[in-house]
Amino acid sequence: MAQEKGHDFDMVKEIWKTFRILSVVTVVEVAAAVLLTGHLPQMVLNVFYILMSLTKAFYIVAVFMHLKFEMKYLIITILIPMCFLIYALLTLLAEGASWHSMKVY
Amino acid sequence: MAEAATLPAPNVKENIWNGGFSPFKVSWGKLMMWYFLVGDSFSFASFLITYGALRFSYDSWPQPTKVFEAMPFLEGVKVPLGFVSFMTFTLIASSVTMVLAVHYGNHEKNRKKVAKWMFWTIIGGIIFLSSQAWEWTHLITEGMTMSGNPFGASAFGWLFFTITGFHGFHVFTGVVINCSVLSKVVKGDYDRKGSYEMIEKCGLYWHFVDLVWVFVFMAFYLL
Repeated sequence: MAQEKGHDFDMVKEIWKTFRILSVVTVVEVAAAVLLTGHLPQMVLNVFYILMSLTKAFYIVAVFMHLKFEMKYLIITILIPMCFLIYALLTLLAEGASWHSMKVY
Repeated sequence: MAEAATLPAPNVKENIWNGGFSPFKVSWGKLMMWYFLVGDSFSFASFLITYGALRFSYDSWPQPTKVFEAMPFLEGVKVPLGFVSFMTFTLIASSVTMVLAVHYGNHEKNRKKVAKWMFWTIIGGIIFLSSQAWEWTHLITEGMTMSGNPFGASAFGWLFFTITGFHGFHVFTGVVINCSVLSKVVKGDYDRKGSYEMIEKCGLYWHFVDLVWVFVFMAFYLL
């Protein structure tokens, strides 16, 4: 953790830069939801929300949680298990669509 | 570990895993906090994936800009997603104050600055929890329960209460942990120990709560 002062000042700057990015992205998301719902195909908006949320998640994990400054192998052990979540998401959304087609509800 | 990590690895390819050297260059506590958070992300993901699966099984789903449009102190004024934007902003801001506390702890060991920023983090957490309490109260008075709601699909209510409730419980736990760590900072425990790493571990947890909110916010308020 022994870093020279020059790096310290950059880090504080980077924190505030990240704060601005996260705020702007949130404002843009909400503006899109309020102003564009009904005017654009919902699928376009949904893709936009997901991409923006992943952007926010990247900045929180990389800068606030400091992960981009850690060892490569630590990053890998943390990120690889997330592949299971993508698999679970896709499988269960397909499952949900199948419940719908069976008219369980 | 800090000492061990700075030792040169004699032959990196063969000996990095043989002990006496931290292959990830982090302390045990920080590594375990990371792995706890990996596990916790699976609990939240299970909730949100369940939400997705149930949502796909319904013909229609409540429109978020219609459900979440009330503001406290402004009876009858409709601001779609206004209040939740404020809550999101509070949580992001409290994440910033937390990361500043971590930074001043790790790099300057500056007790006053750490205490100041941790204090604002706790205030942010309390504002968020109060806002959530108000939002829940409002939705309950509108008739949203675990079994039904006036907005549409019956599963919407219980999914909203369980998922935002589980997240709110994490925020609450984070506030409690931050309070106890702040009291240790003020007492000077970490100065005596010579390391402010505990702030960093709490910070990881606190940012994780913010990270989860990004996806809860997306699932309930945007999609």
